[in-house]
Amino acid sequence: MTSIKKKNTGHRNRFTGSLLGKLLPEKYREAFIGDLLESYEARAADRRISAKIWLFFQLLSSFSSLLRKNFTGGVAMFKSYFLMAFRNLKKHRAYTLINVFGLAIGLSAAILILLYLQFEISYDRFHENADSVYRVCIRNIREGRLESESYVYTPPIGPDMKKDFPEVEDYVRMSTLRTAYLLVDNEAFNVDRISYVSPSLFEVFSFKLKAGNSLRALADPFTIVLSEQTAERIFGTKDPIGKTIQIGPEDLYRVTGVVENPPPNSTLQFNALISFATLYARPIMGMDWNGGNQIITYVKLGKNTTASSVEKKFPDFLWRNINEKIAVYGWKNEAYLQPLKKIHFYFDESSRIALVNFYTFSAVAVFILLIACINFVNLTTARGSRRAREVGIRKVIGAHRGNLIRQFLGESVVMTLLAFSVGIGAAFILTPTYNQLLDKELNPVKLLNLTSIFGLLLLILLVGVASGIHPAFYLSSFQPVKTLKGVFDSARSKKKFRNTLVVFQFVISVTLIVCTLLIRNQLRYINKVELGYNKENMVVIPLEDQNLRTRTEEVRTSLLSLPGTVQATASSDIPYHGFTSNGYIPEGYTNSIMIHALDADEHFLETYGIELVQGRNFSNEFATDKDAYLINETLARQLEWDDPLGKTIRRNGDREVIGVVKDFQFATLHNTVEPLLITNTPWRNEFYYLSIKINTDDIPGTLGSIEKVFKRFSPLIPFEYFFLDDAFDRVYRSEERFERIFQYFSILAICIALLGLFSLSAYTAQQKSKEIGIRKVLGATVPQILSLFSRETIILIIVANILACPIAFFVIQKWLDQFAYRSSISPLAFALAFVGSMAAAFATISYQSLKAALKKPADELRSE
Amino acid sequence: MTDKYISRPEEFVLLAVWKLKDNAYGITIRKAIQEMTGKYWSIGAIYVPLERLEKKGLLTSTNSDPSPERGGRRKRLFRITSAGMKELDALHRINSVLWKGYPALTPDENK
Repeated sequence: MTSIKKKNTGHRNRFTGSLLGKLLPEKYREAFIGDLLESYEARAADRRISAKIWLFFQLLSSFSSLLRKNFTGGVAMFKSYFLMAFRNLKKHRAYTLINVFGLAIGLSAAILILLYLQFEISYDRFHENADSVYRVCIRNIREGRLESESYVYTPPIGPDMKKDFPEVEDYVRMSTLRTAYLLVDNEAFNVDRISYVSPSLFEVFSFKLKAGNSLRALADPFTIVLSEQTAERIFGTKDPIGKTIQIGPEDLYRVTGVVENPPPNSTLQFNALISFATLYARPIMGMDWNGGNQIITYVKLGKNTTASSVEKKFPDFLWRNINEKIAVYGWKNEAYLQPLKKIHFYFDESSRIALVNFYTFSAVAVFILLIACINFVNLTTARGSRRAREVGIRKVIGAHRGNLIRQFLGESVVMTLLAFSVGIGAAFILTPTYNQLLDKELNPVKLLNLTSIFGLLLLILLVGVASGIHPAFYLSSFQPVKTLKGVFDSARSKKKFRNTLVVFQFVISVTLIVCTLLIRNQLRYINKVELGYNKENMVVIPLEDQNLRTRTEEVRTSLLSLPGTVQATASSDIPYHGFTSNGYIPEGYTNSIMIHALDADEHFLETYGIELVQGRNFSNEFATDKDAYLINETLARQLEWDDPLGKTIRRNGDREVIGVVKDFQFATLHNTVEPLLITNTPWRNEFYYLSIKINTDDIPGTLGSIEKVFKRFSPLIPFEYFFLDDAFDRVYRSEERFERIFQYFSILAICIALLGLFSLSAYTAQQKSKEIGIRKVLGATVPQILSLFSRETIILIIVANILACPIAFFVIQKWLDQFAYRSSISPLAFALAFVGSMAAAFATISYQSLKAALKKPADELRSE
Repeated sequence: MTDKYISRPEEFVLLAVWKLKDNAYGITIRKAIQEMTGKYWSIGAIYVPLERLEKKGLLTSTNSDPSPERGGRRKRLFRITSAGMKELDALHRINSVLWKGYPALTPDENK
């Protein structure tokens, strides 16, 4: 419009004005905008804002009245398009049903996956300071090589960073999570997820205190803040503030606050928080720079600072505090900051699973939707060519090409709309089942935000137009005379296009089948990996009672007198947990190396069935065994010790190696076996677990008598135990869950693809009905016709398989990377997928082709 | 004179243009209608009947010279045609017939 270019008072609404002008005849446009501006200026002279508001409403109301004038005819036309669309869809019910149903399934699957993805993304974003909070992570470098990466570090790094870096506004220290018995009025409550934290937690993170003063709540030693859930569990409806809780034999804690339960999408989960100051009053680890690596440190940076500006100062900072001292051993620590928002996917070793799942499911969602949309496009285009005659008649009657285009687009948009409503409804209905499967609580209502609604509408339009655009433009270009005569292009190029899409669908489906099979393979394989120890019939009792921890030998002796028990051992940890690691200096080495350490009594090897390959086990007969080590084969190999016996390893003084045990897997199977040493002397003489090997004769009876023994030693604390193999399986449960969901979605994808194939074959059967009739007249047999029919599809499937193989191979190799123990990628999976897809495709099309082949040729050829 | 009578909004606008004589354009017409009926129409809404009236030949319109307070845009000045005058006459007649004796038509409680 020329009027836009002209200089004027300048208002954004000018554009809207000119848009409105388009609804008016040419000759009025300029005047109309002029009127608007004149009135606006008159008003704006004294009250600018109210003039703007006036103008806005002017535009709005003008728009509505002008629109009404222009479109009373238009609306009627649209109505007719929609009506025709509905009538057409009703006339071809089977086609409509398959098309709508396929797209709806695909869509509801995509919505369900989207729900999960949205939940994953939402992690930790509810914190107000989410953008400025970082976690301090550490890389352990040895001789220039990355040895390990860790998110736990020594206690002083937080306060020292705040002291030295002006960028750091605040810090929060959190210990790793613990489990303890909370004693209140002679009643014990087993509470897990307990952490020692700094009082600044409530300022840096957005966890709200329900009761208590957030500034003072965790300031003093021996104060504790309970989560709402824990408070209710222990105190019921009573006010917990000021109450006393006993933890351990003597320590009394005062309840100073109740905090809201952390939301499910918080990476930080806790049931109780103990003031960090308590750790200084009653240390459970060294609290200086050489202390225990058990503290997670979060820092909050100031407004105008970046993580990299802090990271630049780390080398100097760490040199002063730690690297200077450990450099002689060849060690170096490096630090970096990890944004809070990324922590969910990088929290610890197991977070990798979340990340892998996230990417996998995003891909699956896109693929399922793609397959469903391709179906839709394929079916609509295929059927479109059957409507050539309709187009011809419409044209003869006087339809313009534009009318036809609008009609076809209208039809496909109506169909997509229908499919979307069905799909969304289905997603809502399926959510509870899906949540059960995922072990999450996802709420589909959360998806109803502006962005996703807009995205969905866009998708509807896109799919509708994409599938309608081809028939709309292609069919409308037919010459009526030709179409009415029945002579028109048989659309060979369109067929090529359809075939390409079919191949694409099957490439995805076959890839999914192969991946499902191989994932199953791997999970089976993991279950069979030789662990090197015996986990069957092993009852494990965590020793929560401090009193028991030092008296394990007594308990053990009483337990072994029971008829059902075979052997028992006390240890600081149990396999599959993964043991802590410390730095040690082995003989002949000048630098320290990281070695996992386990404290266990002399019965550990026998109870767990771990073989001794060299030397001897700990023994009561040698007083010096209290200061001796057993090492595993991996450590011996790593140290290049051919004869490890008699060699020494130093931590607090030199200690002698008296035996070598066969490697056993003490972490999850995501890791390989790492260096390990076993000592006979636990930290502060406390063992944390008692493992009891029992026989299978009378398990409930044995468990009952074990409980009686425990009650004798600690009457107050509830008896709790678990079977080691159960616990072990639980570690892989999330992977199994992942596998199951993946399997379901793959099956769904294949079904949708087959649905498409089914209706496409129906279409071809109809198109070729005359050809088949003639062939039969000329003497073709039913098998011949069948083979003629399926040949093309079979070729497509073969091509799809060939293309899918390398893709599946690549994808699964990436997935297997997360495991230390990998099953081989079996060619059987590929063969199975090939045969499976072929059989499924063949079965799908043979229904239609058989139907066509068995028809009497006379019926087909009679009608013209 | 057409077979069909013009609509009420068209009638208002036509009257307004006649009243305004040489100064009938969007804003003044809108103002006149407000004075007559007490209702504000949107500027866009004025142009709908204007367009119909001009199509029916009851109005003609010409562009004025550009004026600065309108961002350099010209006004569209409307004038009533002789057909428009006849239409107004006819409407006036019909209206007075239509409304004749109106108060008597109110329901009489005494009856």
